[in-house]
Amino acid sequence: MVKSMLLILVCSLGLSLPLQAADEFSLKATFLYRFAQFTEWPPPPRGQIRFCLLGHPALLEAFSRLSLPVDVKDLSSKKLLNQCDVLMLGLSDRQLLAQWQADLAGTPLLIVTDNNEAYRQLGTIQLVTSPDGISFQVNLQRAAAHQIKLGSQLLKLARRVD
Amino acid sequence: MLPAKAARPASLLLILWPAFGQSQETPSLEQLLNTPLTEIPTQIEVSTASRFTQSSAQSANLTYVVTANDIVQFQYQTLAQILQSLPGIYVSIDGAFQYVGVRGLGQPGDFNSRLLFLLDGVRINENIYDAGLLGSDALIDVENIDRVEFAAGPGAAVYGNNAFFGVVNILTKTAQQLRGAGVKLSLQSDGANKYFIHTANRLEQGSEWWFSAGHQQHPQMPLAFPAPQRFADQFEQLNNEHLTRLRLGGKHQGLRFQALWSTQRRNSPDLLPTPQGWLTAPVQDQNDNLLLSLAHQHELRDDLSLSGHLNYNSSEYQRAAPLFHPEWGLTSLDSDQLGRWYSGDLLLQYQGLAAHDLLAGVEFQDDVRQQIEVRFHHDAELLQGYYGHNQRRSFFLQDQWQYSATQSLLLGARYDDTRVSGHRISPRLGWIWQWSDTQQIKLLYGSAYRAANLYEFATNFSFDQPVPEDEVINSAEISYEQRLSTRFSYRLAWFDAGMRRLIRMTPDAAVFSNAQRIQQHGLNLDLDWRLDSGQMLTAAWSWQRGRDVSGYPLQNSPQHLLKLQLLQPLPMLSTELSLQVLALSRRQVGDSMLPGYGLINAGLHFQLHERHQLQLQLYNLLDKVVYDRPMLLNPPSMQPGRLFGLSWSWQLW
Repeated sequence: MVKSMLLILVCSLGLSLPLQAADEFSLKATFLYRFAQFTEWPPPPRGQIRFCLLGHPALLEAFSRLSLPVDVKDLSSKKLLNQCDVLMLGLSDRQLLAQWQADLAGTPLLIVTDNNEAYRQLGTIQLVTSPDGISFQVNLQRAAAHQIKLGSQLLKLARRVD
Repeated sequence: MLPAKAARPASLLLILWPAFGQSQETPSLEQLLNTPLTEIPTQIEVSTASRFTQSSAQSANLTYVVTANDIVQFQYQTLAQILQSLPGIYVSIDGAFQYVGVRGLGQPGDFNSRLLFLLDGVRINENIYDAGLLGSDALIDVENIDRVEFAAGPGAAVYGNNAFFGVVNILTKTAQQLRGAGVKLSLQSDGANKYFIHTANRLEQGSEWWFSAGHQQHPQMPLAFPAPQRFADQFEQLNNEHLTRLRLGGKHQGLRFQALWSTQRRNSPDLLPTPQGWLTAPVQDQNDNLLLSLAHQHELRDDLSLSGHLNYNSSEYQRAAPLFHPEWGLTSLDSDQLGRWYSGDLLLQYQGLAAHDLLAGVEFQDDVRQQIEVRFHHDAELLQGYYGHNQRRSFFLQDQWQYSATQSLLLGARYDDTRVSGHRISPRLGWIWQWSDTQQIKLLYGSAYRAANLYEFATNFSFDQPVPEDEVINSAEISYEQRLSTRFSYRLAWFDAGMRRLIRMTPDAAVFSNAQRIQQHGLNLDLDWRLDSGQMLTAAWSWQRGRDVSGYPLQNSPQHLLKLQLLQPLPMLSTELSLQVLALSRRQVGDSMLPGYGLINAGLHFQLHERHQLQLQLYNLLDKVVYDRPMLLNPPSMQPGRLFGLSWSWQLW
């Protein structure tokens, strides 16, 4: 058995290619892009999916570095909410989040966050960071409350589905 | 173990993805989940120190995390090896049990009872020795571990007994990490082999189940103690081990069920005097453990959540020690140590008050069976029997108060009422100051205790000695953390602890007694460094000094520990090279001064194909001779020398 394993190893050496790693915010931006592709809105977005970022300058910068075919803007006012399909919440202050709660209730938005406080209060998906990578968890009840449907691939790969 | 999808390998999928932002094809979700970070992440989540999920920056305790990827990359095979990679922790081995020392306290005769071990939040220290089982006797295969969190410092304010130096929470994999089905085969140059299978599925509405089984056999283990020359061959043949573990679980909405079972059979050689001369015979050990756990989590309101556990644990350790009896001939002295207990907790978390995170909890444990029985194999009459029935009821409160944008305060206390050792209050006070975006200071003061266990009671009772009183630790800690760049950070931590009535084995009498006051302090420096290519270097140096009132140093208490871990992707080979250095300074145990040592472990991790991974491991690369002496009654034991290992993982679907 050891000989067989060594043979597989030797044969594989010639096939090998290099590893790729990424910085935290580029990875989060790409996750966001992929989440949108696995989401169904009640009326589907007419053109490009519109991403709005709230309190997340590092992610905005990452989007500008990446050549993803998306429409991204910093959400400066609640009035612009109707121009969003995906909302990334960078806020973690409980009182600030509470101020957004009423405006976001029932809106057909995919709300993603990368902190536990915002996920607990408002988020449908949370990006969870560990020392060596990023995973995500999903709240299905909240997805239903926002009238959106999450694809089976997304549910399959979520670390946790609540 | 490599449930291939859960590992973070030098995956071929990733290889086809040249670089973020420059690729024609955006990586898939699966590829993203397997992508390593080139930077030190800003918001790592932890859940152990405060019993709810929070960012590590918000936690008053220093919390160290070992992930499933670390386990794969550094090829840890036991929980002890996982813990040994953490700052301030060292492991002693006597061939049968793996003993953990923390912050310079690794008392001979302590079966890891000064750390509280949790499995998905459920206490798993057994109830005879309060032992944490970390070697091949552990309840869980490392292949099932998603992450291990170590919250350093006294944790009794939320966990009670045994959280003396810290709390180790083993968080297990669920359906996402074990999805599909996979097998892993491992071989070692000393003859050990292991098989592990897993399967899991998640349904559309989020319900899921998982199952895994592991079997390991070690037909001829290295001897921890030198064998008499003329019996060397027989001793080696009699030193063997077999173990099996099963895990089954499921989750539906907020309800989660899990069952874990493990059994370990182990033989170790012994030499008996008989009228016909010396005879070799095995000492037979059997360890059986079971955990059944039901957990529920429910959001009562947006700001109010309720969670709880109901658990049943069973732990049995049986030993048959051979002896020659003038009447019966070859027989054995059999001891049976059986523990069974029910436990449960209910936690209410309230976040309705501005800037406050309130947590209230109640807990109970009923040790329905605690028994040690000793009898001859050929005679049903009981030679010795010790029985206990402990019950514990506890209540705790905790408030984390974010009183300014950059500062928060942690206040907590727990009340424990136990049938055996009365009642006790354990307080905790913490302060966290986010000095700037890149700098943080934490202060923590806490108290913890450990009550004498049934083993300590039985040992003293049999020598007509009083039961030791509860030991208590009061500890103050300060840490400073700075990120010098997104790729380099360091952390400096200082602790000062006073221990009263430490329970320890008296060197010359083999009974337990309370030591006088012990003062202990120490320093820890951790570095974390990342590079573009996925290269990672972590280093930790710990210095500690402990003295009793007479100024004598502690037993088995190394002053210096050094740990280095390097992960180096090899660009031409789709391979990761891992290198680990574990160094420890000399320490006194009984009348022996054990020399310091430096161990080097190396590994190579190949992603042969999307579904196949291969690992090579060299443990103790330089074949250093390492001596330990975890039991005063035994002479120094030897850790295994150089070992070569090979593992192959295949994700079937």
